[in-house]
Amino acid sequence: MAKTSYFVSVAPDAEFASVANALRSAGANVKQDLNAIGLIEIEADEDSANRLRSLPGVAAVEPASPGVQLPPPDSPVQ
Amino acid sequence: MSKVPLSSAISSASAQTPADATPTSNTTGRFIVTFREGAENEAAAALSGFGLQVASSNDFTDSAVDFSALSTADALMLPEIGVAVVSAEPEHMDSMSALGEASPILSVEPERYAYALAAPAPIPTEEPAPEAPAVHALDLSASAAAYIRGYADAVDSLTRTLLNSASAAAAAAPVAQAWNESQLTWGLQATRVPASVFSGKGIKVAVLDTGFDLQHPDFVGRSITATSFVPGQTAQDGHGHGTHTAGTACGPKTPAIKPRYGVAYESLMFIGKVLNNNGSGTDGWILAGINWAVANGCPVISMSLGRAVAPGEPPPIAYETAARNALNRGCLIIAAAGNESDRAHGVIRPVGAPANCPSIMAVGAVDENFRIANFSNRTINANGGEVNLVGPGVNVYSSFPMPSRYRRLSGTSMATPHVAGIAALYAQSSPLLRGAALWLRLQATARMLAIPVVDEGRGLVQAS
Repeated sequence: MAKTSYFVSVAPDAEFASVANALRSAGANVKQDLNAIGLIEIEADEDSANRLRSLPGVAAVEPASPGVQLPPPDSPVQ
Repeated sequence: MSKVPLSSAISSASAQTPADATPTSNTTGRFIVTFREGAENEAAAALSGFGLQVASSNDFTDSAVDFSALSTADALMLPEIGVAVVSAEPEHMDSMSALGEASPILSVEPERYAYALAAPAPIPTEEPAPEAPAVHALDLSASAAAYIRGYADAVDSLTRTLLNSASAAAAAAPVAQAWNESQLTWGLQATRVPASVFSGKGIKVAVLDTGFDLQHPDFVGRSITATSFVPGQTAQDGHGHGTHTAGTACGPKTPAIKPRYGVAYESLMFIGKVLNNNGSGTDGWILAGINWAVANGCPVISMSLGRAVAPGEPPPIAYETAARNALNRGCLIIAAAGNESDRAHGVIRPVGAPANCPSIMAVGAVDENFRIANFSNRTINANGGEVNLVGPGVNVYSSFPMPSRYRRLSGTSMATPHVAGIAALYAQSSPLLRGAALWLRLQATARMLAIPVVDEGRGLVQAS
């Protein structure tokens, strides 16, 4: 299965570092630890990402969106 | 705790009858006591005088109110918003009588559950609008931010219902005028920025966008901290969008070439490049930029970016997690509501993501005649999908990468940094105005226009 970006939301009452460690121990490929905002970006296939939802301290696992695209610079509406 | 009868004294100067004060299924069983501006000490004394245990949000670090404190106090003062939340037996509220005009207490009313303004809301007409249904109950374990916002929405909904908002707003709303932009852009004038005594001095304002023209002559000597989260590209703006938005939020008081176009002219600029020179960006770049801004303690984070969402689509969880953590650390994220609408052709789209997160302030756009902009999105989705404020977003003059130097652009992207810059002015005015308190101040000082609430939220942002 193709691997894509997911964002793991750390539960408000969980310790960020322990959740980050638990994800790594579970084999997750961590791309970014965003510890000021309680998020960890991982790269995973869908099955692996779903399995991580049950880890303690994990509030949510959500796939990345397609992202943002601004209009071209010469567009009058930005 | 002792639930003390508020016998015979706390009263409403605004004709709140005892019958009205009886809790219904829409109310929490507690009461909201509104006190006169600046009279919080007198109000607290009055409540104490009735034997109530009084606590204040000032007792909590950074005004981060723990609402469970109400389990040990009968009254919780929230001086930032001029009210107290009071626990008392409802039957005793019946016996309240007027203290007279000298009373520090203006009104007593039942606390209501939070209302979402989302509801494909009725466009105000001359007929009184039906009260919106309560779509979700207040969760007392939620953050103070959510509480205060929810309560404010309920008050707003109620006020508009009672006052028949269309005619009231129309009577008070500013009227169209021809702007003279020789000295000041119309947007600065309409938001009363020139009259503010504040400059954003010392306030870190993060602008997460396509970067910035770091050689722009209008910004020589400014404090600019710039970082790129786009692999392979520096923070130098290769698009133009970021230079325009940062210019509105942070541009100089006296540019060499008039007019003035920037709000917080002494703010500390934190430029996070999260969109590449083609104007595209991944969630990974954008969230990394938010993390950077929060880690650097930026009280204001301006994001003129987003993507369209479908009606009924929920807000993105990751952004809501980020924004909630940011608010709790005193960082307010302000984002563009989006430009997918084309009202002239009957197309009206919902507020986009991530502005549709409950903990992110969504900004729509108005034009020079205080009409909603043709492209500006609307409150259609619930749970965060509301337009919270509007800002000047049509024909907005601001900085642009050299050699152009300046350009006029339109979009909710242009409205957003007006709000962000003004947020920095308020943040400078008080160290308590951070996070949810800053959000609340921006909404409380906004000016209602004669356009539907679903389009303008609390109205046009005002600096003073």
